Amino acid sequence: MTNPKDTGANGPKRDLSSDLGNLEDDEFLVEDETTTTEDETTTTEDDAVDPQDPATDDPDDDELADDDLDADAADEEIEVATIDDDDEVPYELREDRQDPATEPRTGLVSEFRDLTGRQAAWLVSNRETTTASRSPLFYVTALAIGLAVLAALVIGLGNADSTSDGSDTAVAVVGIGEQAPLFEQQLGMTVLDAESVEVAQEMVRNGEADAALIPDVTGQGNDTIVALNSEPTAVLDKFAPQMPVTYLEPPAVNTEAAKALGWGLAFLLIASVMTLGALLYSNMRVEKRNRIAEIIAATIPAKSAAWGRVYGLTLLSLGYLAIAVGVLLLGLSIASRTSLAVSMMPGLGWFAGLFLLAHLLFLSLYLWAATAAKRRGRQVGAGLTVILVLGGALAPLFFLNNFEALKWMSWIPFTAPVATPLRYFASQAEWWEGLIALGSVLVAALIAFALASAAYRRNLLRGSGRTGKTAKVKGDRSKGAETEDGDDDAAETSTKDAKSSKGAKAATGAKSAKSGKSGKSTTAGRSEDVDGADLDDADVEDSDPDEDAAEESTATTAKSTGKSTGKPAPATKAAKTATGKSAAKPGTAGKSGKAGSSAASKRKKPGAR
Amino acid sequence: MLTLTGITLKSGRKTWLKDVSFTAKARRITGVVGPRGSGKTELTRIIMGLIEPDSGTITLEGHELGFGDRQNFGYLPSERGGYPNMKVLEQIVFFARLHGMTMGAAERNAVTLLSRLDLSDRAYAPLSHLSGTEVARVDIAAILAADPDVVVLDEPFDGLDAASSEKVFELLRDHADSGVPIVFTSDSWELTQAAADDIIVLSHGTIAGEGTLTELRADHRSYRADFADEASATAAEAHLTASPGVATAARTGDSVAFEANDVDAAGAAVTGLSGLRGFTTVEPSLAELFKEKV
Repeated sequence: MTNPKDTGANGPKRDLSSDLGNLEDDEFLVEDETTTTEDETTTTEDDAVDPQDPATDDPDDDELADDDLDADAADEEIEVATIDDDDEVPYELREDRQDPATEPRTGLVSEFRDLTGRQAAWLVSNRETTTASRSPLFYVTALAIGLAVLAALVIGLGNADSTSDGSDTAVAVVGIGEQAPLFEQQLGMTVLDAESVEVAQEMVRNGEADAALIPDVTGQGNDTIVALNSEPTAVLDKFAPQMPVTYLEPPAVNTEAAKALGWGLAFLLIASVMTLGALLYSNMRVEKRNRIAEIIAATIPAKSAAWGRVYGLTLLSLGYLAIAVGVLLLGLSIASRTSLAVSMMPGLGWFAGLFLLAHLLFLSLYLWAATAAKRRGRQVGAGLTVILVLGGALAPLFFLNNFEALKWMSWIPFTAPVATPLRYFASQAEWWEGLIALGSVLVAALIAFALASAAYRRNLLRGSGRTGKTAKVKGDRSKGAETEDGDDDAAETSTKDAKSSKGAKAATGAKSAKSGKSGKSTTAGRSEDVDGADLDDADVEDSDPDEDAAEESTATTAKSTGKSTGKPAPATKAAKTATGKSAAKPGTAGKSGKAGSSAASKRKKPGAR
Repeated sequence: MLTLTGITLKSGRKTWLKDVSFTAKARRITGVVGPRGSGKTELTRIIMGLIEPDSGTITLEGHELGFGDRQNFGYLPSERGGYPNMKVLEQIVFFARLHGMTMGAAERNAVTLLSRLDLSDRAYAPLSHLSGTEVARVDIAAILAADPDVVVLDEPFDGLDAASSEKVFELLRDHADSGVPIVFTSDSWELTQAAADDIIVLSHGTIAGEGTLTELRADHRSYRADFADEASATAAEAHLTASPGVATAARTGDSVAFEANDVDAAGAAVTGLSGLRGFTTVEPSLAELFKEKV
């Protein structure tokens, strides 16, 4: 078997020697038998045809220098032959080669650097974004967003144009005097005479005129148009080269446009979060199913892995934002609605920031949902996340004119991304209120990520098929099964026992139940044994019916625990204590996570249903 | 040298592993063999720090392993697979880089390994386009590309056909020779016998046997004597049963199989039997040694 490393090591060497002035491939090739096989980068066709004759080399190459080199080739032959020697190659060009004697037979090179948590997260995020950006779903969404914005622009502008025929608009012109009727005829709109700039501005302010034309008396600059707070499109359309517009009041987006924009932003947010969330979710499932999660967990800190995928996809959402905002602003400026574009800017700016943070928040929730070990748990988690996304994005649109409601919504993390820009469009928000919105979303995102990251760590090995972890879960389940079997006394005893004994494992609870008062609980304990064996199989990822059934029973178990004892809290505590020992260990990701999760899953389920 | 001492893993009433201790030596391939449910997967997960044992320690070259010390352990989980939509080369490079390998080295190793595993032509195909054995080989390559210091493989020969198993054997052997302890688990007696230097037989969470194949065979050596005809074989069976140092003797056709304390005792026992045509030592396979015991 040939060592593949040989070819690898020789390749660059050959290139190097022939690059040094195209010395003589022919002779080099003839001399060095190992390199005669392929030299596609440097051997020309001529060489291939007639490798023995250097004189015919490069017949169509007219450069004298080359000929000289050919002539010199004989003299330089020795040099060429020894070019293998590293001493002849300049340091910069020298290839880093291992001494063949010390080279391992595996042919592997070992070149490491310390991988920090951040770098590990970057690797994960890089992989995540690469995969996501290659998926058709990503492109379909991008296309949909682009087309939607374009369609909205075309329709919106079409509507705007049809309403502004200019017949009922008035323009005040400074110093026009008696020529007003003439102008009126020319422009096809009411022209009012204003004595001075101030008077003209006043007319615009009190609505007498839609805009004022202020001719440049110096003859050096341009005429300007003054408007109140929105672009006087009808007036502007009459002037061939668009004139600069100055505003008496800072422009706000008009209600119609703000409404349309609000829907657009909500749509953008929903489309982006749902797409990226779905990609994150499916990637997580693939990792669990194919046990990649285990490899990753054994190699890098779980937190880096969790953070990497969330922030990678969050960055990817920038692509959607860029498409939407880019098409929108470009479209508006092409249609000469620059004032509208400019007036949108503050709102859009805040939206951009909130959009990113909202992705952090919602993707963390998706991650959290995807880490659940049980199918039911994942479905509930993903469903709730979808509801939050949809509700959060759409709710503000139903309170478009209720600024008090919008104000509150802009401080709630889930509704802030859409509510905040709506307030800015209506000029209803101070500049710093955006910061509050950003802060609230950021805090929520960090909390969501902390929860998701903890769930990720603790559920690493769960829900990925037949695992050792299920054993621990079974232990906890066995207690649940006991309590379910009706005997309240036995249940409470076992709970208390578990609570009191320090190092209590699931076994303790089981034992106490067995030695419990009624014979029934003993049988319960035993029959559970069989149950446990079944659950082991049921935990295999793809056997859904069983899994769901198991899930169901656990859930009902937990429920009935609460009902029958009337004390859900101690039961939960017991579960905690039972696994408390392992959790207290200064443990690695594995065990403490598992312990917590079983307790948590028990606590969560009744509520979730 | 990777040493496990007194590893015990319990959960509820079930004890997955009970006081498991062994040493995986550098330059040696250690095979942990046992039927399904004997605790092999738990053992690999404990070695990788994914599960914390209830008691017991794991040391590498005398240092107890803590969190983060396994950065350059190569770990192949069972029932595995890769990222289906990622290209083979990217995938291997990604895993190698997770171990801290530089981009250049990772790519170079990936190419080297792919060519050794006959996958060079599939380097740019997505994993989902590969056949089952190709995927299994890619998984192996992904583990070895980081040139790991310790290799832990859970059922590495799952999904490999005979030819690719051979290649993987070779690769693992070369890797072990570079000074690395390799631990693998398998439920196949034959493959373990073929691949492992040191064998650990795991049964219901305890070690049922451990050592090299020769060592494991030492106590269970049996012999076979061939005779010219059945009559002399029958006579010899009676004689052997009565001989000192011979435990059991059983005749099949014209040959007698018997167990003796050592080869000298066996030789002495058969010496002088009439019609003796041959006398051989029967080396039992791993499966014969343990299949019924575990």
